[in-house]
Amino acid sequence: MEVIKLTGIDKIYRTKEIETQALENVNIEVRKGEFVSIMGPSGCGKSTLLNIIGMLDLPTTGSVEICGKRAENMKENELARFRNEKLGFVFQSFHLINSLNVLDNVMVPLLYRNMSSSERNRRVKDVLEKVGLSHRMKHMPSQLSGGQCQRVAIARAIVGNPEIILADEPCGNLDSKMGAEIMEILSELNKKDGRTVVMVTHNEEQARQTDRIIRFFDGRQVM
Amino acid sequence: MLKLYFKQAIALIKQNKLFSGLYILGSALAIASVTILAVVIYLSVAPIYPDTNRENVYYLSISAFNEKNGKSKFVSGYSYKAVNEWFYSLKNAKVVSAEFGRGIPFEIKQNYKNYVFNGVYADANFFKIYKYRFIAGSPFSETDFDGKLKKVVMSDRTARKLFGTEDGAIGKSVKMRGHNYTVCGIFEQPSIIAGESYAELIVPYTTYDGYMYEDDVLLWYGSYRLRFLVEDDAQADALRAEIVDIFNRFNNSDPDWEVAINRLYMKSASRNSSNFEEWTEFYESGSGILLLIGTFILLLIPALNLSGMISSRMEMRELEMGVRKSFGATRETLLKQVMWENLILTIMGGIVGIFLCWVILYGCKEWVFMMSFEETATITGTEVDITTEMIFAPAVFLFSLGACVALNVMSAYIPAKRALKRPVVEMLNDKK
Ligand SMILES: Nc1ncnc2c1ncn2[C@@H]1O[C@H](COP(=O)(O)OP(=O)(O)OP(=O)(O)O)[C@@H](O)[C@H]1O
Ligand SMILES: [Mg+2]
Repeated sequence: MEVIKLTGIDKIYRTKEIETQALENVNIEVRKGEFVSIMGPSGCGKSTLLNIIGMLDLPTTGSVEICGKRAENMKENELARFRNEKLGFVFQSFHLINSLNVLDNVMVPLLYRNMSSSERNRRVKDVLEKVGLSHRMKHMPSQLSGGQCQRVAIARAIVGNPEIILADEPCGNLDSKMGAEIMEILSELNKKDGRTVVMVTHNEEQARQTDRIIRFFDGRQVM
Repeated sequence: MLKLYFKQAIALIKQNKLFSGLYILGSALAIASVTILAVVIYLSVAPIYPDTNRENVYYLSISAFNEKNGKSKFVSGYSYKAVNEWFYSLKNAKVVSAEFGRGIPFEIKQNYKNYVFNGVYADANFFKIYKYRFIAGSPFSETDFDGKLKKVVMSDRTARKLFGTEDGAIGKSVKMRGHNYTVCGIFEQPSIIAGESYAELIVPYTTYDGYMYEDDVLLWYGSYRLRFLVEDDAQADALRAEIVDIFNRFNNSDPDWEVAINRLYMKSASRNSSNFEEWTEFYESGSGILLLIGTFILLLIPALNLSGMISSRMEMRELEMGVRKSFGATRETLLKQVMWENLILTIMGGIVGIFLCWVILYGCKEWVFMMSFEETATITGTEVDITTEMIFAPAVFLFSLGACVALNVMSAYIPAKRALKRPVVEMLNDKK
């Protein structure tokens, strides 16, 4: 069963003077429980693709169907709810909220759900344990190493039990040892918890650990 | 959720102390200014010593007397004759009191020094309408009044100025207008803010030489003004009707004169009045409206400034908002969050503002209050007293809180809403 189904996607960025075609006729299907990596040179449209899958952005043309829902048919509130329940993002540069400590950062997705605060706390503590950061709950992001920040970001992405995890270069800013740790966590989420993972990476070795590699060049799918 | 907003607000303050400091200061100044306005307006209608019955005290100070042939017209108070024949016997009032002399300086020469006081020629009922607190002696009685005894009641401050003592002043004598008066009571000095009830010394009007004077042309006009204490609003209406009735009977029987009934200036003290009809009506339609308009004007400029600050703050928080959106926050939720967080800052500013307001009121009370109590105050250069009951009034506090909410909405709503409108991708991508 496909949880991600992109058909005939074009994405054109228009500014006053220039027009950039970031994606051109992209067709991708990802089955439930698959671990897919996306590769390609800088500027080829990987982040753009992830944004579209994550329903943060709409394609210029083409249709996006995630978990059986079409993005273009949804209203803002529906979209927000959908993102909250089905999707978990790990951004290219962590994007932690600097004014919040680790615990509160991870809790963000749960704030937009109907849930008691004790239940929220319990869940946050569970995932922090999973990523090995229980002892850093009260730390601020500025007091963490890059690898720790990325683990917080992953914890935040999975705390709400989303079906799909979208990770944009989760190991990009990390040294190879930390990168390996993060890969470990992601594959465990995929294998043990059956999460669908779509990961952007520049690292061939990491990509080979996944089920399938989708390559991009200049906005087009190469294979 | 509120606890969470509070936590977040504290975190934001810690994170950006300069912004928060300036923001709190800005709100504080705005709230201080409207709280001062509120206190001034509140004090013009509130029951404060000695006018503790304020909402049930009514005033009839002047009438317009027109000659039936249209030749002449007087707008003035009433004569002794009018007071006795028309007013003292009114049935629809608990107390009727007549007085004159307010606004005339009382000069006293004591120990070769000249003093000027704010005094009033009154009857014994004056003390039934206003609850003067006596610290020594007692007010002059009905019998003293009828017997034209030259007794004077004065405030502790007046006594101190004249004799250097307060309770020791009882039985001493002062010379006013060529007569010697004996001090029979010392009361706590009221504040000039008490308005109509304010006096530094009070003497029986029967001791004034020309107190029964009446004019040949029109026997009814003179310098007396009337105060009524009524049970409630209903009795006030009945009183008004009773007075209209008296005037009507006069108009029907007097060959030459009539009282303009459509201009019956019977005013409640709690809707403080001047003698101009339009102005009075405006006042009567509510000091509330005056306060609201004033507040809006006073908040507008600070709100615009604060709104600029919030605008730049929202830019700094763009990434945060983008992240929250991508994890499922709707614009509404975020707007609510920003407004609450900001309200917490504004209320902190409000608390500082209320303190600031007290400091300003204590420090510049003359300047602040003379504007509104000019008439009485200019006579003697009286001091303005401010007591805690006046500015710790719960009504004023609630109002200030409301002003915080208003300021918050006026300053934060538009910039927050606009900032949150941006597409998520843009919010996440802006590299800062
Ligand atoms: N908001 C935007 N406006 C205009 N052009 C954009 C915008 N976002 C991306 N682009 C352009 O679209 C193309 C694809 O960008 P994208 O960020 O998807 O690349 P990427 O593959 O993620 O690159 P990297 O590996 O460096 O992260 C680039 O040429 C980029 O300049
Ligand atoms: Mg990218």
